Amino acid sequence: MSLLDVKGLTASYGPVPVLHGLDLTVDEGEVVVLLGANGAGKTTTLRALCQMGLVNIGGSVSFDGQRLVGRRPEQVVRLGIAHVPQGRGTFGELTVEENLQIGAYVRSDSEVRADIERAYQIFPRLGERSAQHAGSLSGGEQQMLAVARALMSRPRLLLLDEPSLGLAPLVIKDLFERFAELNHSLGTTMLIVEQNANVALAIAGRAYVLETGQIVLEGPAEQLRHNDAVRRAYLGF
Amino acid sequence: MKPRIIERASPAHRVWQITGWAILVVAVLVIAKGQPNYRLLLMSNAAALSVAILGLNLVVGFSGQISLGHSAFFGFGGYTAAVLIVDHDWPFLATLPVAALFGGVLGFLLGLPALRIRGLYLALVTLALAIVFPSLAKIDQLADLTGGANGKPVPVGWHRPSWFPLKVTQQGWQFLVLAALAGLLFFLASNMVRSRAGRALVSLRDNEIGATVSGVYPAGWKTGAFAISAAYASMAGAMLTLAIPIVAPDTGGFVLAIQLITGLVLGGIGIISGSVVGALAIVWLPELTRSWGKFLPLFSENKTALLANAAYGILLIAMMFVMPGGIMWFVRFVRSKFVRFVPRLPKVSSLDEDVEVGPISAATVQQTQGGSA
Amino acid sequence: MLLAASVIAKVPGIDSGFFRLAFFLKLVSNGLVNGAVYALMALTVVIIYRTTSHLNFAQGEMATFGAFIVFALAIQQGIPYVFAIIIAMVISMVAGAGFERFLVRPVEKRSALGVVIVTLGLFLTLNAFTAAIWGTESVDVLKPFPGGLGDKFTFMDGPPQFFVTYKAVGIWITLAVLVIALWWLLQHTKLGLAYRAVASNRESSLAVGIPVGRMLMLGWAISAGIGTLAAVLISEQSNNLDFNLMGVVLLYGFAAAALGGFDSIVGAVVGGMIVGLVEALVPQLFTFIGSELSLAMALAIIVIVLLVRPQGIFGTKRIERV
Repeated sequence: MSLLDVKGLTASYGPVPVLHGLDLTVDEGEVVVLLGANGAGKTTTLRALCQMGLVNIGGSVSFDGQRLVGRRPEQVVRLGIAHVPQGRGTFGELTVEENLQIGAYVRSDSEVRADIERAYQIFPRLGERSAQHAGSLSGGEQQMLAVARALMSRPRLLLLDEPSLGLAPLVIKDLFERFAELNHSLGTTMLIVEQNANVALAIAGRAYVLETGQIVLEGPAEQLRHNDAVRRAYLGF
Repeated sequence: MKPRIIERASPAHRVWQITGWAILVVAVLVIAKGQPNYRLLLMSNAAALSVAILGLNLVVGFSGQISLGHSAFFGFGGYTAAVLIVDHDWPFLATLPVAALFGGVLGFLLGLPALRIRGLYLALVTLALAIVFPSLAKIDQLADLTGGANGKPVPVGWHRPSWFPLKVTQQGWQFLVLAALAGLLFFLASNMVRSRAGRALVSLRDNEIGATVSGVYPAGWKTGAFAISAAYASMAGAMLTLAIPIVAPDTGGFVLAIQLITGLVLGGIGIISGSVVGALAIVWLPELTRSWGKFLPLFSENKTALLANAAYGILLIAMMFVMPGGIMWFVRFVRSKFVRFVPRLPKVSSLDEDVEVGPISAATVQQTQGGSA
Repeated sequence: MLLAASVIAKVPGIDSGFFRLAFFLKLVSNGLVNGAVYALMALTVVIIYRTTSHLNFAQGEMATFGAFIVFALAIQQGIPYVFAIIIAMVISMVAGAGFERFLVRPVEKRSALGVVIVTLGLFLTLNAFTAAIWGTESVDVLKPFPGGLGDKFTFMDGPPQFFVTYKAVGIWITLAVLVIALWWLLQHTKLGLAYRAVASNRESSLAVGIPVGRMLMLGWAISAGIGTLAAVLISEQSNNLDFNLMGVVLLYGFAAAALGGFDSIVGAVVGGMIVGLVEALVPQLFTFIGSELSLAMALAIIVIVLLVRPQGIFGTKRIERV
């Protein structure tokens, strides 16, 4: 059974439908990429999965056998899904350390401190800046912070919304290498939504292509990399 | 039943409009002739307030700036008229344009800093302005001009001229004059909002960035809107002196400010005719509560004024839930089931349908159609 | 400085009596006591503004109603002040949370103007009900602190005397305790961290699993409780309790919050003190400004701050969300 099982997902902002029936699955331990251009509905898809407001959601979303549609966002987090929003979404006025602390909000165990230390080990730059306000960090550092924060809830599924947005190419390369690393060492399942197909497909196992609210292509990442249409549209050659 | 479609500015539309105005005129005449004096006084009040609310509507509903302090302009206009009439022997009608002009200048001056204070902060500043106005009117140094804390009596004393065919009382005549003035001002406003200027304002309200990019520069239009709305409110204050022969510090204070907002919300923000409905509502509400108050244990025995306030408050809240568009919005909603007014339809040839397709789907479509990729 | 004082004192319009030390100190201490109450009101403004970007125009009336509950319990029923105040605060807090959940939240989705209108409507309704229930006349003043003529610390025997009343000290201590409690709550508890997170980024707070709705209700609840407390204190200080008790005080609270920064706790305290001092000193200094114009000064403060430096002294520069 897949960890995440989505069937016929629809979503709309008020009267405007954005998603027209998506089917996708994510198995435990996988890195799955959802490719799409601007306006395709990528962010809406993730928000629909997390039950974040302003989106009328239909269809079925099942996480580890549990129904997600209709739950409150905090319940989704408690079930084990962490969402890294588009644009990082760090708490600018809080310090780096406080950002990590709040990432563990749904936890009440005593290992939070240990996890924060581990986050500093994985992302040393965050450790250096632990007392700084998150808003003063660079784009790449904020992205790392956002991911580290998401990991603090010890999620089973990590949703990442366009992590490469606004970052320099070298930073992006570094970032995605860390994602792959996290997947290998922690076994964290990831669903990454991206425009930048190059880096995303390099670390993914499987991928879907989303266009105007519908899945138009799916398959192993390697296969999609060599697909002519994908190459022309998303890989630039 | 399908609603009947009528194009704006078509003959059918004109018939509709003329009938509407005719009904209003007849109603005004009937009221002026037949109603008892104390009711005519209330109606005069409503006429003046409707102009004030219209001013508020122009700035809140059409240019999207929150002003909770338009009562200050109302009071200012009243005092202007009082000074001109009492100290300088001006005739009543002449004071109106002056009040409007001064009010407009004041509004322009206040509208300039208002550009820099957005949204909620502007609400706070304008509310504070309304709260402070009575204090300003009571300044000892100005007492010669303003009459100090007791206000300034304004004996206008304009009687029905002998050539006027309809025999009405003093109050009836006052009401007729004010209603006529209000009607004129409403007609002007109605044309203003349908003009290019009006549409520019609305575009600013709905999407400031989009409008600016299209060439509508916010600063000029917004201060202009503020100025005109202040002019209206000011003129309304001057108008009221005809029926109520005194101006007092509290005339421009907090209570009136809230009443104007209540009237605006009740009638319908952004709907011109709503201003009339709103004014009638706020003038007649205390009358209604005066008779009901007896039945409510808490509010009986001289507390009916409080009941009016409580009713205003509850209505404001309820409207936000039930009818945020106001009464006239609801009326128009019902009307739209029967008849709908649409802008003049341009004549165009059929447009080609452009379906947005992404590159993968296009490739797929081409493949399934057997063409080469 | 004495030379400067004697020169300034000769300027017409300035009251030369102003500079007699005892008199001056008395004004300052009065200003700081009133300032403490304005600081409390400013705190209520800031607490709600931080997480919602709304201003609650009904805050004053909610506080007045709370003070009247204390009146009903303590003076009419004879319950000791401590319990009466606590009960009234709890009732206010529940009401505050309820208002947020049922009156404000459904409307704020649609428009920010709607929230302004709802709080104005609430203002009117509460004001009318307070007067309807307890009458429009002044009632017996609340006296949680000993307020007799002898209850004071005398520093200068005078004439004129300079003393500080027990109730003044009580008010300062209340403010200090409250501010410390708030500071501790916000900086050192998980709840406070969650609250600051909601203030910083509401969407990310949802993403992290914080029950944002409950945080908003909590903010309104705390503000309501503090408001009631402020009303009780100002009642004793100004020797008055009627249904319009807090109308003006709220305006001063807004001025203080604007001055200090709408999202700064420290700013609320500092702003409150400054507004209190200005209110006490300026009309005495410039005698042509009568007491009527204290309100105008509050307005002037608000306007000047918002034009010149909208974030106030301690606030953060934020993108206006309205």
